[in-house]
Amino acid sequence: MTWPILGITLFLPLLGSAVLALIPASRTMAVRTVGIAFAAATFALSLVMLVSFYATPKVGSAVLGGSVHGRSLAHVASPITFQFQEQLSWLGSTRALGQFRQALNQGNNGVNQAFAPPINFSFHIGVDGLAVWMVALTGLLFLLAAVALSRREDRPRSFLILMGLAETGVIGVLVSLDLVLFYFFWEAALIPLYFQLLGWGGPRRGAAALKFIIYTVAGSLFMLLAILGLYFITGAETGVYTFDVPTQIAMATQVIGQHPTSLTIFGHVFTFLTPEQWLFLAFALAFAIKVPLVPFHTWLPDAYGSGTTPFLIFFAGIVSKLGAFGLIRYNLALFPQASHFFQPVMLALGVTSILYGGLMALGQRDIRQIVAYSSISHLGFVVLGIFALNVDGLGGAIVQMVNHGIIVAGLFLCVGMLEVRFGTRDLGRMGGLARPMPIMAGMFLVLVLAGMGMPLMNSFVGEFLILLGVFQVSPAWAVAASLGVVIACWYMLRLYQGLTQGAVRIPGTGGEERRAGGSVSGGGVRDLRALEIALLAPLVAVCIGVGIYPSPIISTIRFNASQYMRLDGRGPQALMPTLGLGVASSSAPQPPGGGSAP
Amino acid sequence: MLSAYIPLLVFLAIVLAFGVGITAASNLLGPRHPTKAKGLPYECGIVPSASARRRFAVTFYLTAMLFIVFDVEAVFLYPWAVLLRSTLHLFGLIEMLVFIALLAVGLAYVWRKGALEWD
Amino acid sequence: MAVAIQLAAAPWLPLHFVPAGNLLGVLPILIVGGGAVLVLLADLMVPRRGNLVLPVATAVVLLGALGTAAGQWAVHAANPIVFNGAYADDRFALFADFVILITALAVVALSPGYLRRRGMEEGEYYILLLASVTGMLVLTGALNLIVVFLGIELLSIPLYVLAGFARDEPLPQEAAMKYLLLGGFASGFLVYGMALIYGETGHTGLVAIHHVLTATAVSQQFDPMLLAGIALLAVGLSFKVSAAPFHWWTPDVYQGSPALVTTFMSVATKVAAFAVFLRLFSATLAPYRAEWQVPIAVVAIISMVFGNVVALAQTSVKRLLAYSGIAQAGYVMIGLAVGRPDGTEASLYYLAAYAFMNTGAFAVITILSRRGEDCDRYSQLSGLGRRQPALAGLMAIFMLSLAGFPLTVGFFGKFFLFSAAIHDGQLPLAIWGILTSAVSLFYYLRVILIMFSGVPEAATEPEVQVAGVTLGGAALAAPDSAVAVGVPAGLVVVLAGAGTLVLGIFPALIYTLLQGITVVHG
Repeated sequence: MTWPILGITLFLPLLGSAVLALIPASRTMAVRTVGIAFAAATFALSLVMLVSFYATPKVGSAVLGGSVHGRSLAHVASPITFQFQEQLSWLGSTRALGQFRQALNQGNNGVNQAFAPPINFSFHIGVDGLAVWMVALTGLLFLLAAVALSRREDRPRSFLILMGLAETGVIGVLVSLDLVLFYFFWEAALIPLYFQLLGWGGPRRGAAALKFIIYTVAGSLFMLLAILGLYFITGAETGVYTFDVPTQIAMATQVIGQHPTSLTIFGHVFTFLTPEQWLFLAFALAFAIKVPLVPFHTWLPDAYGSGTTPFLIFFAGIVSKLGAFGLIRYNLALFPQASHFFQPVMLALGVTSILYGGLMALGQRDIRQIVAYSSISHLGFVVLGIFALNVDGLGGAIVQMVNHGIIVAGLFLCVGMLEVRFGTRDLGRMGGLARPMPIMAGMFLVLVLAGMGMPLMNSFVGEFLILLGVFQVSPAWAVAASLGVVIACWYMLRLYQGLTQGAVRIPGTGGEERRAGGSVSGGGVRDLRALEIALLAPLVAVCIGVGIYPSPIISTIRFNASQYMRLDGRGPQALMPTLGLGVASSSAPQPPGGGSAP
Repeated sequence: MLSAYIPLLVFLAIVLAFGVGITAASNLLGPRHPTKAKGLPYECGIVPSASARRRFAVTFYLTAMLFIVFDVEAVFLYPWAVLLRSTLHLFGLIEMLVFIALLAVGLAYVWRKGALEWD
Repeated sequence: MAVAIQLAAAPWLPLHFVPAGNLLGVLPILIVGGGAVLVLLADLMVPRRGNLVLPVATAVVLLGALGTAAGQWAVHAANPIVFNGAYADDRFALFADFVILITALAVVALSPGYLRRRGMEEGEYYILLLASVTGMLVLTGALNLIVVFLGIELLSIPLYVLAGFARDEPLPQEAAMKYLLLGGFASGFLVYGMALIYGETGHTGLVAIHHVLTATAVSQQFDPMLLAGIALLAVGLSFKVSAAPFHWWTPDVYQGSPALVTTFMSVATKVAAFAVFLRLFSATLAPYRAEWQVPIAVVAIISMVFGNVVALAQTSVKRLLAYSGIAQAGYVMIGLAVGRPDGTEASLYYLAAYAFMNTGAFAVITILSRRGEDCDRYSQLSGLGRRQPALAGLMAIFMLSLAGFPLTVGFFGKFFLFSAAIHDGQLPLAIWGILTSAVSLFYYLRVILIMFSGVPEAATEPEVQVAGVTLGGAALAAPDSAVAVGVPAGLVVVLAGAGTLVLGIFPALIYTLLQGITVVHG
């Protein structure tokens, strides 16, 4: 690594925002071009990173590199490979920490009551096989959103500036390797999203924005407590006070914080969960709200109902994946024991989300809300896969995270194109659009099939792996989740058929429905323009391409998933190779570049 | 440690008892011959010319306040003058000059702001 | 003030006993106090209205004091105790001095434009401001109960006058009266507490008191009179920092006073009072930590809950900030209740953060003010995002910072406080802090919502009733034209915004300062 590609990828959108701020708002053409250029450059960098991540695998050595580590942990390494690492000091000096260590090791008094460990966090970034895919997806979706920004949109410059800030925030969440830095980006990314939701979109956007941000921040605040708790608990047990994620992951492989917490109420001693389990819950709450899992989802229909299309592309496409990302990176990796403890709860929440989301999607007339609830259902699958706690389930979940980002972006694009043309989102007022808009219908069909999880579509691979993983844990949950696949077929086909088949119904401008009657052309309804086709085409291509030839993506992701599964000391286990999915047939997962696992 | 306060408490009780006792005793024992002149407010022996409950100009209040400031200054100057040669020396002199200068600034301020004008 | 100390010391001290070091130690106080006198004289000399001599002179005085304090920080005297243990210019005091002086500078920069708009250009304003700052500087380094009291009175009395500085309006009059009465009440508690502590320990010097307490704390025989004294001291100081349930004066006084006075009152007073609160409790009274920790924690929790919940119902930004100020006092008290060095550091960090964000938020309100009133009702802010995007954007930054969002200094303020609480094992404090932070999002973000979405609330908003005085009617119509922002005022708001962001991204700028802090207590 000769130049800091990851740091550049992270801050390029921010630079783009700064450049945009210097251009006069009236020059919309220049504003738009600059916005797209920066988004495209970010995407290109993320692709370069994705390719070189797998071209030159670095195993083991980089894990604890650069960070401080103490006595007994020198030989304990994080099983997860992080590449493109960069570390700069942010707060606190290593000198102060060294003095603290020295005092600790002198052993005369141990830690003096008044001698606090200096808070020490750093700007530490890096990507593993999970994050590198998510960063690439982020780059793609933000580029699409920049291109999709309508010419008639109010204040395009402000929107693009906020989008750049949001992109830096989202990438920051994905690449931070320091808990404080992670939390910093996690919440900071909400600010531009809040303003975008507040400033653009439907009439009830103010309430939707407030609801979204209060839900997510309220959830994350407990995560902040948990981060501090983790810092002091692991610090007290090992003498290493650090917010560094690889170090914490390495420490998590040892057994940490297993003493139950007890609470005395009126003389009765109640023994609640262990500290590790409490920390798991605090992290899981923040991520469950972001995903969202079902009891925490009520912000989602409002937000998805009032945002503009470009906003929804990255909001639904990537921001909600951050919750799933957090569940993997933090809950699985930092609290492996608690993950096993809470596995039934999380599986139950996942299945509930799948079924609830699917049933709600069936009941909607608003085409946006159908997509919104389908999103809840699909993310339920992702969580289900994560908490199968085996390589198949987790690998499937990661594949599905990328897939769903692409599918939901495509669906919201289609929905947005219809909205612009007809001024309505009511399923009952549109119909038979396949005749006037054949290209739209064709592309929409691919996306809908992908959303259903049809074989030869990308999400088939993901859902299949997830169900495979869950089946190994509990066949009952797998069966319940399969029911969700059936419901998905139902609401997706209902959406597709209602829109494209049957008699041509086109809502008129004056509120009066205009029946096209005999006119096959559909009465002046324009099919997709070249730009719109260009927006949808890459998404459709990915859906089909990955569906037909999934093995490269699966083998790379599976390698990473196996690293996460190594954390609880039980080692990777997978049925996938023996089932012959066209994956490399060795029983031990290999890094695709040929290196050996740590 | 609280027991150290007992003498204080006893002292307080005696003071109260003494005050109440004397007042009560003079009320009970003393002869009383009320006349109209005795009911008048005491004005240094001069017969009051009007009711005491008339309104004063607020300027009196201001003047009284200023008077108190400089009155206290004078009170303060006296012990200082006694001790100046024996104890305080040059330092005390400088201190008092600073103190008087501050009061002088205050005087200049009220003068300039018109607080010394009667109207 | 310094003169008074010297006078108290003078009778038994020959000249050579007051070395220059003593005077150097209190040099910032001397500069500000002397500056107040000079500004007073200048006020007598220069023609009355519309010139900038007084604000410029005041700013020069404050800058001089700031420079001196910075010099003292750099020198870092080995023995910072001066005047026979009455005062210390340790780095703890100096840090608080920096915050107070910078806040005062911001207030002075905002003053000419604000006073002109509100039609109250009087020279006494600057004199009273400097006098109050003198009191605050006395307070931060006070090492003797009597000096503490002197400082508190010296900072309070000018503020009583300033609160009622808009003499023609009823609300400021009421605010000043309330502030005077309740402030006097609080001073009473304070003096009573000091008297009891003196009675039990036989000392007024904090160092000596600390020694006595260390000795008695070992024997585990806690004296009820002493505990009563500590409790009264805590009550009196809680009044001054406006912590619930001793906050009743705060909303009316903050709302009634001219916005700029409220700015000064809410930030600088709080910093000074917390400085002495921290020094007294986490240093001097540290041996009795087991006794006062729980009550202080309870006060902190009540403040956080009460301030944040009642703020939800407000329709005036000044009043909102008053309740938010009560809540913020609760957050600072987390560090106080922790009591250890990391708690003290966290409290100081939060106070510095608070100075930036609260000064900024109030500065925006002062810029919007006009003759006869401060435009701070929600209905008047509606649509500010369109009328004045820059001002609204900065206000949004301050609101986000008060809510504790990352990218702003408020985040790290809360981060260090919660960290100290968890490290000390005070989980309930941290959890209540988190819960109330979540509640506070509603009202801080609501201000942003109103500014940027321009929902006209005037139709539904009830007339604002403040202690029987009805505002409303003619004044409700929001000004449509953009307000002209003067250069110094604009500079203050922009610098406060920049500070909020820069310190929110690089927390080490303040944190490293705090690492080298020393608190003298004995």
